Amino acid sequence: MRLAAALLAGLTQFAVPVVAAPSAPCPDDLQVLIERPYAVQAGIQAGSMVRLRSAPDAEPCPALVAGLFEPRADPSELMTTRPRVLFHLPHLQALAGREGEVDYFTVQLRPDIDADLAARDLELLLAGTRVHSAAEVADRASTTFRVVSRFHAAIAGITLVAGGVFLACIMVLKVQERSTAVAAARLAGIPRRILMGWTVAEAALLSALGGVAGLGVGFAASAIVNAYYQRVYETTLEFSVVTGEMVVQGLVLAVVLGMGAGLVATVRLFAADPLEL
Amino acid sequence: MSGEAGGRGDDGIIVVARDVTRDYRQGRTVVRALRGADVTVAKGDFLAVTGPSGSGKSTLLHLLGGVDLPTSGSVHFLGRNLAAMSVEARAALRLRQVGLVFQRFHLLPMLTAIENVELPLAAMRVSRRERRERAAAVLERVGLADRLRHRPGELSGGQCQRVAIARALANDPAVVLADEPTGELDRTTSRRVLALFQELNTAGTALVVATHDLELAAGARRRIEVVDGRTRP
Repeated sequence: MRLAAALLAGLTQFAVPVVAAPSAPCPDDLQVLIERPYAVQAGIQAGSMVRLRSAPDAEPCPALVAGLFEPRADPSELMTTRPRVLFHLPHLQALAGREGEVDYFTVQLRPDIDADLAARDLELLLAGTRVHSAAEVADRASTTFRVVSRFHAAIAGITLVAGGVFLACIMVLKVQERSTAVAAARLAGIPRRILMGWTVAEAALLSALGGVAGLGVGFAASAIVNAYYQRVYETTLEFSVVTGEMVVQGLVLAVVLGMGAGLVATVRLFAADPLEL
Repeated sequence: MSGEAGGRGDDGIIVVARDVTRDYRQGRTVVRALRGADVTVAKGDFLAVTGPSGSGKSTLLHLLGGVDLPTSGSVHFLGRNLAAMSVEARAALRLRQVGLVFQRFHLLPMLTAIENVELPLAAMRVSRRERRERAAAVLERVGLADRLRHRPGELSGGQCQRVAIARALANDPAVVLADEPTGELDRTTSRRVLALFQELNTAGTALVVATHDLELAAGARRRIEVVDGRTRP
């Protein structure tokens, strides 16, 4: 049977409201899995005996550590209570004194199982159960991230505008410093379009170099952020990513802004009579 | 005015200014910088234009080079009436036929000596190799063969002025117009610049130099004085 095969393939996670009933008895033969980093830190290994309680005032129950597991690099699990301990569902229900209650459980399918069919079968089999695909759950879970991303995009936009204005001011000042030399070149007959071309090309080159330097800072900052949070959350998740698209966008924006700033500066300069400079 | 009146260049005349005036408006006041000046510059000329400050020497130089146009009168350059030419055409004429030297050199500080000299050649679309060769040759001519890669900040005032002169000579102009070229230089360096001008003139370059420097003026072949906007021999 397909569903049975799917369930056998890995009934991996359960969640039961861990609010202990007043006098929940200890389940027999209680076995758990403990996440490896915590176990290593606490000196626990497979075969160790630990005592667990579902609430501070509940009676502790002896449990055998059946094994250790590697925590998944999953953003949705970053903020969950640590360490994570996995139970057999009946043991967890018994420990919590909430037998027959399950908030959710995760089913991992073999690659050859059709997820939609399995979901339909599960909903039919477990009346009142709603099955969500991993993509759906991830989409719902990342709503906050999308808002944060938009916020970041807004900050980036404002920063770019401010940076563009700053760049234009710098260019105006730099070009102004050369105003007499440029005036001399104009008097010597060097065409305006050539002088403008040189100035704009120089501005574009400087901006591109600035863009490359900025990307270097971005990559370094990203590496620092990742190193810090990976250490804090003991995960391999990447918290900051500089994508190829960002690199291209950054460079293109830098060059366009630089050329614009150079153009503004040069137009201001060329508006003046060279004999008065 | 006809081409004959101004000379076509083949008669040895480079630039002719006839009865030129130049008025500047400062607010409601009209300042008359030139009040009827006459100048003729021929091939091989070395003309010194002297006169007190504010007498109109620089204005006259600007008119001769087509940088500015007279309020009345005419300036013909190689037979062409400058007033009848567009701004772009006059710029092109200056680029090819006029070398300008300024009191404060006006070199681009971020470029080396040779790159500064190459500028007019680059604007004339001379190939990179040829302009490098020509710029090096002209820098050698002004005695700066060992300073090609130096930036203006690494050169003395006299060396900067020689780079500026080399830049003015790079396009092999019909005439070099120099406005107070020794104004920022000490006596010894000024003499070197005068010697360089004389050497260039002997080699056939026509020069017009506006100056307060009597020694420089005395070294020229010819001298005119501008007083109150009028020229007198």
